[in-house]
Amino acid sequence: MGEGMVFAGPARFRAILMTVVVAASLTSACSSDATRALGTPVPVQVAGLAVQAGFGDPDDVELPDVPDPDGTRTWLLGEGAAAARLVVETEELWQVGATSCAQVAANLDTLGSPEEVLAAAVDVPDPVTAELLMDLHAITGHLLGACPDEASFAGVLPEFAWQWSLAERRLQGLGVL
Amino acid sequence: MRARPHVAGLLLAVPLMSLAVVDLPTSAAVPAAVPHGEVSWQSAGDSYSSGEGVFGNVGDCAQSDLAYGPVAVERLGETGWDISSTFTACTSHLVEDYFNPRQDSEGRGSLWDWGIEQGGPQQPDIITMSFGGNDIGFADVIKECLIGLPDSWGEFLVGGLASSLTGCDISEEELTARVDALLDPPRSDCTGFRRTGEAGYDCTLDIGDRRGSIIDFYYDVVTQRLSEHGQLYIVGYPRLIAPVDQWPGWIKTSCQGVLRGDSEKLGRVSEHLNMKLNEAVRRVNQALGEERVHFLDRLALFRDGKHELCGTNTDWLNGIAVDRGEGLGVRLATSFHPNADGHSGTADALVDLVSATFAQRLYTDVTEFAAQSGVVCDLDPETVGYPADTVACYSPDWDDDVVLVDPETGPYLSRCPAAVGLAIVPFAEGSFGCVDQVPNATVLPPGTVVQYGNYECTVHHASIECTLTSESFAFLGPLTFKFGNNTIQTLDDGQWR
Repeated sequence: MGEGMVFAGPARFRAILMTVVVAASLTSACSSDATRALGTPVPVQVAGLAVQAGFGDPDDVELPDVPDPDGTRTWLLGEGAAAARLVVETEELWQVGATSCAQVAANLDTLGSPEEVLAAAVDVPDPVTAELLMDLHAITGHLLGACPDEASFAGVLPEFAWQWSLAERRLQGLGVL
Repeated sequence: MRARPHVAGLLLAVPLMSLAVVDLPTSAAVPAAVPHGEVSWQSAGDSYSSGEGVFGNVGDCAQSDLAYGPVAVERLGETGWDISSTFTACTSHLVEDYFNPRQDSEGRGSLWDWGIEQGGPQQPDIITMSFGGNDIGFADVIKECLIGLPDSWGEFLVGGLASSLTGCDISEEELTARVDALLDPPRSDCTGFRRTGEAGYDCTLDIGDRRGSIIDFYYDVVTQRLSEHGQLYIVGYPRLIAPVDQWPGWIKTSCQGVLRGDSEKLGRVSEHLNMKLNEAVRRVNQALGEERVHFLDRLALFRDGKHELCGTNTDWLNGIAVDRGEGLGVRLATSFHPNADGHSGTADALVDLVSATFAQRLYTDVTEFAAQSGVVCDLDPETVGYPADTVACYSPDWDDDVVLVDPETGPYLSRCPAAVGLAIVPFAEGSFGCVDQVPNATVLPPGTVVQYGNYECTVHHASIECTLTSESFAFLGPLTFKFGNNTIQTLDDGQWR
């Protein structure tokens, strides 16, 4: 777990626990990614997936500045932590694939209902960060819906990876991850 | 010899003369004419008129004083209009609710009756409204498709791919057909109301005394409810989300949580609805035989200003809105409705539309019009290219309009910005245009003194006055200037025609 992970108290414990669960379920092909701390540069695997979405390399996308970094960080580490945790809890979807869907959904349910997590994203003080997290929320629901069908999952995964990459980079820049 | 020929105003635009001229912008500010007497105004409609998207809206109708209707009334009042207004727009209401009371209306009558209860007249002068969105079930689609979420994340897995698009499984063809049925309902044998499910989306609407299309509804409002010179203003619906090719580079998969595919589908339906409402307005005016119904194209207003969600300008709509008052939760109703900025922008456009279409129609007496509007109507219409049986007026203020009043019918016939004002020319029989439509024309503002040959000419509002400065050239014969399809000649008597 990298130093960038700054969840406090039970949240921090849960993040660590999640990583253990993830590590235990990894295949050999992606074990190097599984132990990667969030907040480090996006590994090749997710970038490669994201490019398949046809939107270009997410690392090349220029994100607008955050007008109120402190307020945004405070929200994402406090009352709106569920929105930030959406990034953490969904990492397995691109790391592990469709076999992680049930576990990811169960983990997300511990954050709150889809509506509660969405509300936490909507209320992020920085509208760009809010948009990135709302859109991650939407594509996550869409990808989970595709889980039962392998082909559908594979079809949606690149867009999910693209959105996940941007959201992760944004939160990394804010020091939330 | 001092010749003082009275020259046609057409000389204000002389494309071929190499004079020292002053170029003016071709679009001068158009001031709002102020109608005489009190104007009664009813702001009706659904949630897109009530101000549902404005935080702080009140009551079960979700009304806000910042909705476009009340704001337009206020802004016109600031320019001198004397308006008595009622506000009957109410969230979730349909066409059929305008003349029929609803069970859930907390004791109110129909929206029409509510206007009377608020002290409005039996025949208001102006009615504004947006209806149709709820009649095609679009609000429900938006609610379910854009912000409908399962209770748990696990439910996404159970329902399969479609479950993540709750409500969006309705086809574009179905929604489009519902829109078309507003104008041309396939079924006329229906009874009951749409909101209660008694009548399907293919049925005629209950419009009070009869059933019919939304065109029939507009027709009945005009012929049965408006005052003699009353006007009906139909306000369209904006597209909620900008087309995906207009999104910023960092937004790709969805906008405000609406997946790009769903966004495009709903956008096309919005555009179709807007287009068909505009068509309905055209058709009802044809049926009426006069232009009494006007369409405010709110889709174009939001689009042109890049104010749709994920556009490049300030959002004029709420995305997903959160109700903080009850803890974290998504406030469904407020989401995806015009916000205060959107209503303000709509109000500005409505003020312009009403000013351009309503005020002049109140006057049937030219003298009264002139007195109220502060214009002078002593122009010879023929000298400015109008038929002899019309009255041409101008404002002493150069920034004002030149208007043409038909003393028989009252409405103005044409109006050009002041900078091109008197250069209104007939291009063909029965067709008029402003001089800025003439290629290479140059406009001379009043007061300009120009030298042309042996004449010194001073430009006035409706004429150009020239003095021959050298008797040595008195032998000069008639001069001819070609201007568009028109020919202006000096005649032997020195008069220009």
